[in-house]
Formats: sequence, C-alpha cells, structure tokens
Amino acid sequence: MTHANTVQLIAQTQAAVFRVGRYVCSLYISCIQEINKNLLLTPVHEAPDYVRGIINLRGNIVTVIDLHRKLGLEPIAIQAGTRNVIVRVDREMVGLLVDGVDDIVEIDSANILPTPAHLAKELGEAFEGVVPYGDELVAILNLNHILSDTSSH
Amino acid sequence: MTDNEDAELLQVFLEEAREHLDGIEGALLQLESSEGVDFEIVNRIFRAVHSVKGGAGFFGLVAIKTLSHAMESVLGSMQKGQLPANTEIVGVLLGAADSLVHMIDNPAQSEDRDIADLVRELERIGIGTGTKPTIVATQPRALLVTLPDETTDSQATLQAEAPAKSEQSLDVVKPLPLSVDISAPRTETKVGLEAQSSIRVHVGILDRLMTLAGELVLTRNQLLQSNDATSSSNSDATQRIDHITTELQDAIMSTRMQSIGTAFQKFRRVVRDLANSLDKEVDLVIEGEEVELDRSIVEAIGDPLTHLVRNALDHGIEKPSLRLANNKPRRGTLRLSALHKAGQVIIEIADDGAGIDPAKVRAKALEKGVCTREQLASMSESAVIKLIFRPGFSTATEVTDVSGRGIGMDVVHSNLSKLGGVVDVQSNVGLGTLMRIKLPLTLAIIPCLLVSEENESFAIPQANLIELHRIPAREVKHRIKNFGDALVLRLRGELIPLIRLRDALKIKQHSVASETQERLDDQRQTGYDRRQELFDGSEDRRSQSDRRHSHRSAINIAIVAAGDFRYGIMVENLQDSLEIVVKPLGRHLRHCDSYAGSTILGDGRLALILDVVSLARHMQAADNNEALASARLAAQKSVESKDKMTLILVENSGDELMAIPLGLIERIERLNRHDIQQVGGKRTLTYRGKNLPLLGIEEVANVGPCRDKPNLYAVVYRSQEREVGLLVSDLIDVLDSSTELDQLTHRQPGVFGSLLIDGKITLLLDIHGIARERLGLPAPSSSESKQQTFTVLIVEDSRFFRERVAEFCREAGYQILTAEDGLEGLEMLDQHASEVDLVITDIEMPRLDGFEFTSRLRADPRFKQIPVIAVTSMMGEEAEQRGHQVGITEYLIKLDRERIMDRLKYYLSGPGANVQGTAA
Repeated sequence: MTHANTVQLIAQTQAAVFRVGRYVCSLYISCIQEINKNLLLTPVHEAPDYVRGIINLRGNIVTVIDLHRKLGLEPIAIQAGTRNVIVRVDREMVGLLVDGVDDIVEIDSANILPTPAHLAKELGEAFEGVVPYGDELVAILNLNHILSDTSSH
Repeated sequence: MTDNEDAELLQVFLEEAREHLDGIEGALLQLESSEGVDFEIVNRIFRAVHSVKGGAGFFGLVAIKTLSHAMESVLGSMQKGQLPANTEIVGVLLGAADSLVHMIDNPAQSEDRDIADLVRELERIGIGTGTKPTIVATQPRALLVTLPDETTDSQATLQAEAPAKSEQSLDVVKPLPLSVDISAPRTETKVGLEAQSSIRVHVGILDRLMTLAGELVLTRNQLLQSNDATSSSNSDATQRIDHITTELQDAIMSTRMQSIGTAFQKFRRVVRDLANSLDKEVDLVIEGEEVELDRSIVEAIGDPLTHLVRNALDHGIEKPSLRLANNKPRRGTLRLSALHKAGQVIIEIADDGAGIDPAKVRAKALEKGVCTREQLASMSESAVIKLIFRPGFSTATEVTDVSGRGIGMDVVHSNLSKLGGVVDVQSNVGLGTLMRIKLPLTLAIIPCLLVSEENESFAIPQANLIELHRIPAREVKHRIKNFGDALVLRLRGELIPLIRLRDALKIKQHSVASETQERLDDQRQTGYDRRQELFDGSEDRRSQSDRRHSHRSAINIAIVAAGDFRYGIMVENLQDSLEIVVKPLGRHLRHCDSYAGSTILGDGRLALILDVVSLARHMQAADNNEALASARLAAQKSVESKDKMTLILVENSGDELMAIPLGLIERIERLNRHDIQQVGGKRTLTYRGKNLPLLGIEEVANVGPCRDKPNLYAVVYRSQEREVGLLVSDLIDVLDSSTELDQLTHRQPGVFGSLLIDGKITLLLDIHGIARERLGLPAPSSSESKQQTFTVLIVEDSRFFRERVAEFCREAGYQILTAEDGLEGLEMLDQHASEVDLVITDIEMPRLDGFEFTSRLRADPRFKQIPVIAVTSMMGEEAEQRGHQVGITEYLIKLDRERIMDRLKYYLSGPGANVQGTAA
C-alpha cells in the first residue's frame, strides 16, 4: 500500500479536493477509481462503526467507509451532495463517503507542509500533510491509515 | 520454422511429456504391486517413455533422450519377460522417472543435470537380463501372451538386437512427428483416438466462464422476478432461459469438477517412500477416487491431506516388530476414502495403528499450556483428543523429518476451515485413528434460502437448513416457550433453542413512523412481556405483502444445523430459495463472523449470507444452559407417553385426506405439471440431471385421481435403493397423531388403513407398497428364504405396528415371537432364551418402556450379545444417546420396512452377525 507515497515523488500531482465535515481533504487522483452517487447502502450489522454498509458496484461488493467517523466526527448525514469516492487498494475497492467534491487541483510536492500540531495530536496519522488551497489549508489524506481495519476511535 | 513457432512446439512437447510422465509413477507402482509382470502396464509405460524420447530427440534435449532411452531398454527387456518387476528395478525406474519430470519442468537446465549414475544403473539392470535366463523360464505363459501378432514381434526384435540402430532410424525421420507412431506398437493408435476426446483449456478461461455464468444466473433471477410481476406472454421463453441457464451453470461447474483421485494418486508414492524410510510396512487402500470436487478444493486439500497421511504413517502405524508383538498383522493399513453425502464430500484417513493416547494428549496439553488442569478434568476423552487441533500442539516426542515440526494439526484445521470444511478425529488406543474431513462440493455457487428482516434480505445456506416452520398465531403460545432468557420451540416432542435474527444481529427497528406508532399502541394495550409484543408487532406489513397467510402474528422459523447443534432462527419473512453466487466481504468486515459473505440479488440489491455456525456460538454464549436443560426435561415429561407418529397430511383428488409417516420421507419437491415427462406409461421428472420416477396414488389404490392443477408436489422417498416421488396435489399439514388405526375398513393395496384426524377419515398410505406395485420392485428378501432358523422377538404395544413388523418379518422368512410391553418381552425372552436371535422393541410402552426393557435384558448374561433394534416414530438425538447407553444396538424408524429388513439381514446373516451386541 505504498501507492500514495510513490506518487508523491513526482513534483506535480493531481488531487481531488472534497469536504469531510469541517475538514477540507484531498486524495491523489491516481488512487481514485471513480467518484459516484451510488448510495444504495446495505447495512452490515456488527460491523465496525466507521463502516456504513456495502454497495453493489457493477457486480462487485464494495465496503463503504464513513470518513466522518474515521476523522472523529459525528456520522455523516447523507444529503444531495454526498458522494462515494471509490479507491482501489490491494486489488480491493473501498468507498469513502464525503460531503461533496469541490475541485481537482495540481499539488506541488514542494508546497506540502507538515500537519499542524493540534490536528496531528487529534487525528494521529490520518493526514500526510497540508497544502495551501485558496484561503484554506487542504489536508492530504493518508490512505493507509484511513483504510486500516483496526483503528476506530 | 521461426523461433516463435519452435518455442510453441517445444511448449506443446513439454506439456505432452508432462502428461505422459504423470501416469508413469502410478503405473510403475501398480507394476510393483501386481503379481508377476503385468505386460499391459509395461507396454503403457514403454509407450509413454518412448514418446518422451522421440520428442526430446527432435528438440535436441540430449540428456532427456539419453535417460528415456536407457529406461526404454529396461522396459523393453521387461516386455519380453527377461526382467522381473521387483522393488529394486521399479525403484530405479521411479528414480529415473523423477529425474525426467524434473528435466521436463526445467528444460533449459536439463542438459546440466547429472544423469550418468542413473543411466549406468539402468544399463546394469539391462545387461543383467542375459545372465538371468531362469526368469524367462519361470514365466513362459506370460511370454506367449505378449506376442499376439507380428507387429509386437518385429518390434521386439528391433529393440532387442540394436537399440542404437532403432534410434538412428528415428533420427532420419525426426522432423515428422509421425515417426513416433511408426515405431510404436499398433495399439497406440487406439490410445491416441481416445485421448482426442479431451482438449486442454486454460484454467483462466474456465474461471472466466464461471464468473460469466454467475452473472447470467443473477440476470436470470432478475428476469424471473420481473416476469412474476408482469406475467407477460413471453413466459415460455423466460422459462426456457431459466432451464438453459441452470444447465449451462451445471455444465460449467462440471468443467471445474475434478475427481479426488488426482489428489489421492500421489499418496501411493508418498506412502511407499515414507514407509520405506521409516522401516514400516504399509498397505494403502484408496476408495472413492471417482468422487468429484471443485478444482480449487481438490488443489487446496493436497497439503492438509499430505500432513494427515504423514502423521498416520509416522505416529500412527507401528513398526512391524511392535505390531507383531501386539498381535496385529505385520503390515499396517492406511485407508484413504472419499464419498458424497448430503451435498458434501467426506474424506476419511483411517489407519490401524497405535491410536492417540488421551493420557499423552492431556500431559502435553498441560505442558504446552493449551488447557488448565480444571478444563481437562471436565473434558470427555474425545474432546481431549480434539485438542490436537489447537495451535501449538504436537504429540511427537521427537521431532522427526517426517512430521512433528511444531506446526501441524492446527494448520490442517485452519486450512480446512478456510475451505468451509470441518475435520474430526476419532481414535482408539491400540486400534487406530480415523480422521474425517467434510468439505463442500464447490465454493462458488450455493443454494440458499432468502429470509428478510426489516426489509433487509439475508441468505441461509441450504446446506445448513433442516426445515421451515410457520407457527400459526393460535399455536404460538403453546409451541414457543420462554425459559429464563432462552426461547425454545416445541417440535415433535423436542425443544429447540430459538434466536430472533433481529436480536442476534442487533438490527435496529427503523420502520415507517405511523406503523411504529400503531405498534406502540398495540403494545400498550396488550402489556405482554417484551417477547410477546414482538411476536404480535411485526405482521402488519407482512399481511399486506402476502395475503395468503392471513393469521395474525404467525411466526416463521428456519431450523438450522450448526454441526450437531440444531436451533431455530426466527425471521420476519421467509422468501424464495435460490442459487446464489458467493462474493466475499472486504477486509474491514472480516471480524463480522455472523456472515459468510454476501451476494447480489436479482434486483441488484445485496444480501448478506448468514454463517449459521457463528450465530450459534453467539447464542450458546448468551444461553442460560441450565435453564435450557431443565426446560428440556420438563418438556420431555410433558410429552404424553402415548405412542405418537408424525404424519404429513396430503390431498390428491381434493376430497380425500391422506397421511404419510414423515420419517419415511427424504424430502418434498414442488413441481410444475409441464415438467412431468410421460414415457412408456411411466411418468418421470428430470431433476438435477437425474430421473425421478413419479408414482400416482390412484395407480395403485382405489382413490380419486390427482387434481388437475399447474403445481404439484412430489413426496420423495427411497425404495429399494432408489429415489421415487409420490405425486400429490396439495400438502395440508404436518402433525403428531396417536396411532389408533382402523385396519379393516379401508385396507387396500397402497393403504395401511385409516385414521381419524380432527374428525376426518384419513388414509394412511403404504408408500413402499405403492412403489413395489408400480415399479415391480421385488418384495424385499422374501425369496431369500434360508432364514427360517432365525427367530425375532417383537416387543410393541401398538397392535398396528406389532402386526406390521411381524408381517414384514414373516414374509422375509423369520420366526416371530411377540410381546405387548417390556415386562411381557422379558418373560418371552426368559421362556425362549435359546431361540431368540434378535429383538425389535418399541420405546414408548406401558408398564416397562424400551429403555428399561433393554437395560434389564442386557443385565442378563444370556442376552449380552443379542442385537436389539429399537423402532421409534420420533428420532431424537438425546433419546438415541440414552438408547445406546442402555445397550440398544441401533435405532430405526417404524414402518421403514426396507431399512428394518436390511438391518435384520445384516445382524443375522450379514457382516454384523459377528460383531453384534452391546454398543458403547
């Protein structure tokens, strides 16, 4: 699962920017398979609380993770803007629920700053770093950490 | 010829060579074990080696050619009867074959392999032929057989006089692959033709076909469902697609099926080599090689099997000296067998070795910290033996290079679990060990029952499903009881623990607000306990969706089996049963052990597949066992001691009620009238690739004809080792009935008599009689009349059953004594002590019941060995266990004439005649 890291070596990389509660996050395009509105979730009882359910993505069973939960927020409320970001890691597809996809941006690896101390303290390794985005800071998600199946708060 | 084509040709040669060599090892071992020299086998090996040699020469693989040539010479001498097929020679040939396989697998390095020793060894053996004329003399008869025509003759001379020359001639014609055929014996052409009936297909293509078939099944399901809804005119085409899809799926499945022989074969060699290196003498018996399993399973069981076989040889079977000292035959026996049973494959590895000593296992378990002393104290011996499957356990006192490297049985256990298999062990010290593995036939597509709860669908694998029950509202109070925290269902005199799916999975209720409100109101009014509320609360939506079931608050229960443990799952709705494609869940969900996977339904929605075994674990943990145990006891007492029989009530013409004892039935199939084929005056149903003969009750008994309706039912049962289906138009009910049977008024062929059920006259059908009449099956055993000398005592309080059983036995030629209860039975036995050879007894009887009767009988030294067969109409595991404790030899179902006759024969004149007596 070193995908995100290797991509980082290239100076300019495209990344999708999306909102997760109060955070603005991004993921490199290269780990994203698609972004869709497939929210026909089948709940899996007894699953970890960050798993929102499973969906049928053209014949594949995809586990859908609530990014709110992974970032220590209240469960996501599904609305019109809610999107399912499908990432592919280790030949398995996983969906990430986000509040809305804003933009695709170029990220220059030279601009990546370390995660601010208060965020790092709260969310551990959830972020790889931050980059300026307009007036805001965009947090680059650490996909390894987000997809780990052990950590739940 | 381009390089590319060359490489391709080489690939073809290598694949062919591999195939040839695959068979060689087995053939050589067969040769070694056969009496004298089996020329048929020698010819086969010769041809294989010869083909390899030809190809190797063509591609310039000199080492392969040289070695196969040397082998060919030895085999040639053997063909002419100049060489025996003894262990030494076969050993060298096996070694050479191994080398060949290795070189074929690594053709690039084949030239570097040092084969000089092998070739020298082979040549030495070959030269030996001239100095051993005695061998020729001892086998003149066989020699004659090998020379049936001039082809073999001329060929033999060719090989004998100048091997080098024959090779030269090969060189000349090399570029033509035909050269192989020219020099080969004529029989080769026949073999070649047979071989062409199969082709090589890449596994990847098969897997892809499998996936596509899976998707087709899903689409088919979708089509069927939408068709149900619209009932459009193209239903014929839909039905055809339905059938074709099913067949296509079966056909593709069958391409993935491989006989287990593939996995078994290699053990001939493993066992031979291992036995030699351990100085043990072992006969390997292989049974059921033809049993087929999914390819992936056959591949995956190789390692666990190897481990078990190695264990059996290393720790199980003793050295010959020790065996002789223990009065056992010098040679040990290892039996590998496979058989189909109830949609599963059972593989057994049995040895007649030293067995597993529970004392040693106990000591080891303590030493390794697998268990505490207290835990061990409360374990039965068989539970102790099962500790060998725990991680970190190995009983080998020394680490050998054969087995016992610390890892072991636990790996076997976990590998098999991954395949959905179970392994069990039975062992008797001094007698041997039996490992039994149960495996599913396939992992890809499984039949399931769909159930739903709060609009979510769940699938229960058919393999775990025993029966379905719908408890009508008016019976809920009577049938479902609350003991402490445990819910139980009364079913045929047994208590079955229940769980509510909703509770087990902690499904939150999220119904429409108004409905919830209604339910709340309802609850406030009734004020029952919580469970009762739930019974009452959930049917509003169901009655909307399914008007046929108009009972309020009826409860649906699926009875399932998790190993030996049976329990009921209460669900909101029972839906279709269908074939589903299993899709694994992602890694985030791997800890959710209530599920075995998921599947996509016809409408694209998902359903989770329930893991019945894990769900049971949930329940057992939460279960208040004491409460349950006392509840069971109470229920057993409350079951009236009166003799009861469980009957299934059916209708045929629509106005006559008929009953069939449930215990005699295998299953019930629903079928479409159009699916019945009428050929030669007999009706059959083609079902899962087999023909099921269908019988009509009216064909034998004087009753009304089967009602003309599109959907009928076939009550399937076994008669004379084959399955037959009895056609009925409707299923009415399943109930327990006391057996006050009127044998006079309605007695006729196919009908035992009549019963009064709820005030209605009901005919009790003689389904075996119907099968005999219609299919002309012989009345069992009546012709084998050499049994007059045997006397059977029948102890049974119900006159009907007593007379029925007596009638069976008389027809089979046995002498009969009868008694009406246990006390009378004991008196009869006492009076006729020397005559009675076997006892058949009922369990429920006044004055002295079957258990007590048997235990008193066993206390009498004269009857310690006599077989006692208990016949009962309700078979319960507990009752069965109790029966075995008091000394009942076997349990059978009343009226199951065939089985009873079969077992009588077994105990009186069959293999059981010597090993009868007190079990356990």
